[in-house]
Amino acid sequence: MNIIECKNLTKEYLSGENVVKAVDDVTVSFQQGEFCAITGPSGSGKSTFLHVLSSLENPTSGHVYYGGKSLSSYNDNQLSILRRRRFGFVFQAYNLVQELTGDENILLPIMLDNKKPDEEYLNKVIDMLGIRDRLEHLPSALSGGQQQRIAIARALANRPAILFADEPTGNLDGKSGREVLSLLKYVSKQLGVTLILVTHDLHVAEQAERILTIEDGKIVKDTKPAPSV
Amino acid sequence: MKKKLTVNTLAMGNLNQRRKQYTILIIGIILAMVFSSGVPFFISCMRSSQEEVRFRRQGKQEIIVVNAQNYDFSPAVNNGEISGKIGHAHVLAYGWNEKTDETYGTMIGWLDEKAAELYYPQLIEGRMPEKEDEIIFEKNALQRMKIDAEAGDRITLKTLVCNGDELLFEEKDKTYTLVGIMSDKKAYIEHFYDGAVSKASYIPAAFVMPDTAIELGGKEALVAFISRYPTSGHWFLQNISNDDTIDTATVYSTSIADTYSSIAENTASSAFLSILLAFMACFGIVNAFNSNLKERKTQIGMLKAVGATRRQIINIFGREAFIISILTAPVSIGVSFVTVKLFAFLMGDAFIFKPDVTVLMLSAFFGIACVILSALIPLLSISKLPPMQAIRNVELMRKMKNKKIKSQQIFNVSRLLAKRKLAFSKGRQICVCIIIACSIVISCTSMSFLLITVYDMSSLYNYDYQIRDHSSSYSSNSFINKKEDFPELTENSRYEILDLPQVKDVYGVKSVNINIVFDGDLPEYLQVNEYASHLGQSSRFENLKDVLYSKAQQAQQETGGAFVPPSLPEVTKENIKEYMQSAENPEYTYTKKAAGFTTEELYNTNLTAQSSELMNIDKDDIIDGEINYENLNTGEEVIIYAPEKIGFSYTINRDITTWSLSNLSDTATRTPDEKALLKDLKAEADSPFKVGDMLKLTLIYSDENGKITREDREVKIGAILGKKSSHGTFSVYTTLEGLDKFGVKFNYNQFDVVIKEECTAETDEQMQAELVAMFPGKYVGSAFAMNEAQKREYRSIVISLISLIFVFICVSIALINNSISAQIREGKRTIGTLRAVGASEKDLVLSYVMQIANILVGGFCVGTIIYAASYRLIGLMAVGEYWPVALWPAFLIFAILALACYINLKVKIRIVLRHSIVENIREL
Repeated sequence: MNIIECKNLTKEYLSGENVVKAVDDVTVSFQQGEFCAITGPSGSGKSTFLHVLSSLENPTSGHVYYGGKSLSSYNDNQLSILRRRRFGFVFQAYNLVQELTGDENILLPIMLDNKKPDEEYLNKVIDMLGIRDRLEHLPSALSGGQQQRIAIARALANRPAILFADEPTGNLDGKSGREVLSLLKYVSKQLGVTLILVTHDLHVAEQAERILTIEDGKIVKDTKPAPSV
Repeated sequence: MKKKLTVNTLAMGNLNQRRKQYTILIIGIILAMVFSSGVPFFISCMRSSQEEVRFRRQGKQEIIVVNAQNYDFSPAVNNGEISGKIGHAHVLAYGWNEKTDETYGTMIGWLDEKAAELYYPQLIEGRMPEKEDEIIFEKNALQRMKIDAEAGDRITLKTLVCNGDELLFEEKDKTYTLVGIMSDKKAYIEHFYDGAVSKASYIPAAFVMPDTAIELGGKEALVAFISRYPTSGHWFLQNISNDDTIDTATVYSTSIADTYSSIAENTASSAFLSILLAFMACFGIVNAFNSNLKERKTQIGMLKAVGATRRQIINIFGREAFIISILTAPVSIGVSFVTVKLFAFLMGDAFIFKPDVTVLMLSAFFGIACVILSALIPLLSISKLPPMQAIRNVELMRKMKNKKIKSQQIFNVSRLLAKRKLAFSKGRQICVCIIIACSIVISCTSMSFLLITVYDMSSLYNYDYQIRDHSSSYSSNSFINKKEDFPELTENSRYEILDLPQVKDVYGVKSVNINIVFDGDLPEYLQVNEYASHLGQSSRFENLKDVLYSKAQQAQQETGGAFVPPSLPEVTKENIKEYMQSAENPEYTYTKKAAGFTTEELYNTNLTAQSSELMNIDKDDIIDGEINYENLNTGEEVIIYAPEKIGFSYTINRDITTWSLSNLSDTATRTPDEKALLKDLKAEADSPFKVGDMLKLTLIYSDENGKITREDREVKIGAILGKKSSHGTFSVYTTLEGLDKFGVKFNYNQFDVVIKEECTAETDEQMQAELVAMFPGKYVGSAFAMNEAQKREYRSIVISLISLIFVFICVSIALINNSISAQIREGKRTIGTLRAVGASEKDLVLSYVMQIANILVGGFCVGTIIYAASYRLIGLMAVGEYWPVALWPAFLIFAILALACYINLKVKIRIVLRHSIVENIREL
């Protein structure tokens, strides 16, 4: 079943006097529970595609459908609710709120939704990510890997349907990167979350169930590698 | 060829590339420069305005010597007591309009070049006399003589030619062409200069062509206008006062230095406000520049990493502020100039703003210096950081680590974020808090003064015209109301005025001498009152100082020797009674006998009677009882003015006698001057009067033949006044009907005339002419001119206070908004992150609203406390009592600031939300 799909999605930027098509008429769909990696060379438009797909940016033309409904029919408030309840985001630069502790950062989407935290579920996520002893710290007191784990926990806090990750290992060293990636993969599988991940690292992409390759804003390859043992 | 890389090109490059981000900083800098460059402008305006007012009203001279024709000023000039700048008014004759009283005339003369420069005559219309038989008058002189003429009219005056300090006896008619009218000066000189006013009449208020010769047989009188030296001028005054050839009463002095010190006092308060504004604006720059530098910490770190020294960093980034201030200086100084000019225009003719090049340069320098110094504060601190600390923003990390933060499991995102942000940026918030507090203090104080002014505006003169006849005050014996001394304003006169078509009502006031009869000695309270006989009615004691002086003068005349001032005995509380009683007034003994009193004692005072509509007694002034007009009308009751405790102070120096009869009831709230006077108390007593007590009054009067009759009445004290006034004199009040119950018809001393429609300049002239014609020789005063002048003054005060409130509120809003904008720009990444995790616009706005609310409430509390305390203190210092503080202005200003900040915040957040989340998150 398709959880999210896009049709004729285009995103253009103005660069000086020239119009640059970062995403060029892309039509693609994603299955529920799928782990899809989007890869391509630098400047190919993979991050922009993820941003438009996840409603972080508006498309120039085309539509994104979530659960069969076009996101362009949502107003700002409905989009905010969608993002806090159904989507989770992991950024390359972690993007934690510096004034809040790790714990508070994780609870952010739940508190914004005025809900009571599901302690059992959150504990499970926290344990899976191995960050229990870092929860009381402010982000400035955490390493890159720890910050990214907190960011993953925040993204998963509200049991999202889709987890969008933009170069989640880009700022981390090799070991931390591998750890974070396997955690992402493990947690999303365990929780049944669709994971759409942007990476320029082929080793990372190879771990996905499906790889979309983007060049000049277009999907040039959509492959499903054999599952690794 | 490649461009050379200099600090200037680096700074200009930064400015060009980051134009958008610099907008707030540029606005902040312009604002700060407008206010800081406005300080010299404003001070210059206040100074020149007050200086000009002084020159216009009194002239530029500091000493005036009349009848100076025989005095040689050269020794004083040579000794350095006065400057060589001495001008002379050559007085030729005394002239008056034959249709008015001779005493309403004026001296006619001409001013030599230096005198014209010092006397500073101001033309209202026309020109100065250039031909023979041309004349120009000061406005007041024309009015006094009732000459209704315009420039070009021919006027004829009766004249007496001068003969030195005397006038020749022969009256001559002289016809002149009136060529202009000058603003009043002589009237102001009489008012402002020290010295005997009587001799000021020698100063001319009518001028003819310079070098006009005096009529044959006469001799010019000279009036010297002198400019003195500030440090040695007093020697001249001392020497001239000891000089037998010149009467000390002909010397008038008022130092411009004194005027300057009063100008300095007035300017200081205005300057304080403008400096405060400049300070607030500088706070704004510190804030804006701080935020600008924080955004560019990485850039600073990078520059340091590639070898830039601290000095170079300061140079590069300080240069930016310098370039902005230089580029914006013309605009800022222009705005500042126009603002002060507008202010001067709104305040009226008396405000002059003509800055010279020095003031302009000073303004530019002051403005730029303020900007550079304000920019240096954050720059000095940020340039200290080691490169990596700047790049990684270690300072914030350290700050966060030092805070003992405890995770919260359930929280309101907006509230928690606001709380944390406030905790991590306390310094900056304090700046904004100070700005808000200053704004509340100044705006609330101004608003309170505004209310007082508006209240005062409603209490202008409650009559349009006043007619007074003071003839009764010339009575030689005020124990008796002599028929020949009765004022001439009769009941018929009242009806005559009422018959005038414009008149709505006429209220009369009667004032008679009345005596309270005591079977034994006077109570101590009234004896203390009698010691101050100089203050009002005659009493059984004469002024002992006068007695002793006249004895000394008599001795001098008899012996032909020099006048030796008598050595007066030391007056104390113990000996004052004996001291005063040794000079019993013979009129007292005579009156008692003539009226048929034997053992009784009389206390003479004044009974004022007026219609109940005019009485208008302040309820707060009532000590006891209540005003019952019915009982006053039937003559059963009277009202007395008798403070609960009075004191008499009396000091005699060589020439000056100071006496005062004071209300001691509220000593605690007296001003320091009043308290100092009370140290010299010679006698004091508590009031023996109680409401309900009976007073034995006797009204003694004489007819045309001198036959003395007395009317006795016993009346009850209905109410006692004296809670608020500071004087201690005892007096009696009743209504006109109440006075009539004595059975004697007295005339009126005063009429207050109210006209039907609001007075205009035309009706004013017409009414004045009619009243003057009806009451020749009587004082006819128009409240129109006084009310107009008062209204003009109030209007100026209201305009300046409203401008002050407006400016402070605007500056505060601008600075707070500047700070909000900086915070939002700095927090864009957090906004993006919060949006990505599902925060709505409401959540974001709420988070900032809470931050601002905290700062606003903090500033409001501090400001309100300071305002309340300082306002009460101002009251204590000004009138000796704590002024009640109204808190609603503080709440009103708080509401205005909060509303303006909320709207601005909402707009700013909307602008941020217009960009995508990714744009918010990306580094600037």
